[in-house]
Amino acid sequence: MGKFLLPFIEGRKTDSTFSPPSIFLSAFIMAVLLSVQTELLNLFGLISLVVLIGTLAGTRWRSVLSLAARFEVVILFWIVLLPFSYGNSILFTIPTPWGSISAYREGLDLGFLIGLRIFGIVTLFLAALSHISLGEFIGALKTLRIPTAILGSLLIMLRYIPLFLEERSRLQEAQQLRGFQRGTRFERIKSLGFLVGSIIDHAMDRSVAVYEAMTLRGFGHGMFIVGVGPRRNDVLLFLGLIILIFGLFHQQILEVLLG
Amino acid sequence: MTCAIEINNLNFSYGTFSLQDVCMSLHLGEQKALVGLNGSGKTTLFKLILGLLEPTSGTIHIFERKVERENLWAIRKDVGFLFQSPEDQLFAPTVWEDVAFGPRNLGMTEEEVEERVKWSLDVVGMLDFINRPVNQLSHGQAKRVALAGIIAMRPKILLLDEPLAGLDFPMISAMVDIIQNLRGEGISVLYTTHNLFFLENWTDSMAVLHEGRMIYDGPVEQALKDPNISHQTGDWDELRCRMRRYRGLD
Repeated sequence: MGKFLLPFIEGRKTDSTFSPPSIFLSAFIMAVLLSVQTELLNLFGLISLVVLIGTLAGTRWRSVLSLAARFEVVILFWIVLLPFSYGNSILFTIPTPWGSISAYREGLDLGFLIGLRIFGIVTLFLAALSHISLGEFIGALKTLRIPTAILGSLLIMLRYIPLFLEERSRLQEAQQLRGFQRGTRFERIKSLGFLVGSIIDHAMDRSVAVYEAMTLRGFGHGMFIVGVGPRRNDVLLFLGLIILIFGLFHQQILEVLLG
Repeated sequence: MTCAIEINNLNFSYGTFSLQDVCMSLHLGEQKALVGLNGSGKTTLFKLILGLLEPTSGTIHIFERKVERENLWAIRKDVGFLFQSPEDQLFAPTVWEDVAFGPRNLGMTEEEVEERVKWSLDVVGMLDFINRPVNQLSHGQAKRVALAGIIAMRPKILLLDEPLAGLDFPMISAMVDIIQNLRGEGISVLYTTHNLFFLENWTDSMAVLHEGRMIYDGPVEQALKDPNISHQTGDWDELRCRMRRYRGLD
């Protein structure tokens, strides 16, 4: 059986300094701070801070960054697309048979900003998740009042996506063993096209079996997910966040406070 | 003798498949094998017993309580079901959490859950794997953990769908001991198998399903003497002779 898709710590409980809900919540607050930055310099500064804190906390950067790299298409999409659709200052023009297409400086800047934000947020969350176990993550969401029905689905999804991926690999290997070539990207996509139906079919069968297994052990009759409580050190984490927020928005905060 | 499971004139149909007029009983503390060729309806019968499927007609009673919508949770507390594929049964991130799923749903406190999880993992010899992610277990280990998840709810009846299939000899041997120990605590067992060895050596009685009909329910020795019934378990002597012929030994 395969590994989980996200970089959770294996096992049931971790002995990290901060509680899982506070790690998740502070990652969320940091993500909000990253997403509202309009200056590239501030964004770089915040990402550097994340990297610094992560390094001090012993984040497994290799696995975090290899997972973050999977979002390259989403990030590049913004950087490549936006310059052609937004802005006034022309950077260059490409002539085509249907007319010329221009790329704009403002679009490129915005594309970089959005791409960097996405990279920062993805890396931040992956780094945060790499410090807790899957059980603690689900428990943290429970503490943060996410409904059990959603958590149950999330738990099953995180457990079964890798299994579906493995199933796909097995089916593709079976195709190869019977002479199907899938060397190029196009051939790989073509082979996936053949498999979509049977993968969905298997997934449906398996989901029915899992649901039955859960029902037989009382799913829906009790509290199968238990929340995770806070730890004393969480105060330090949130104190740091408050200082950071004040540092970033001190002018606005002072304006509001002092009129 | 008290009946753990009593099935009377059970009918069920789905598409072209049907179970017809099935009658069977499992007594308290008994170990019964449910035998039949692939597609004869064994797993379907298990699902009917557990109320996962609804019969067209007929009745099933578990400890004299009828299997119907109102009683399902009470019945499922008494009956544990081990799926043929443990991968379908284990869904939590770690062994501990998967085994704790049932006891938590029974409304136990966290201390009681902890105690129950350790007890059931100890019974199946998997206590050392308590914090292991379920995706890192071998097939045999996963089967034992799946069994632990069921016995953690302390059922009185175990329905085991091919419990020994796909296991190597040490694992089969361990599984036999586990089930035997559970029987020692008074648990009734109904299990499916295709293996004549287990029927001859490890079963009190057997029930035989053939094309959706229960054609036998009684002692094993008597069944194996009847050629019509022993056909369901396979003619191993004839196969042995044929294999020897292929190898030029006869």
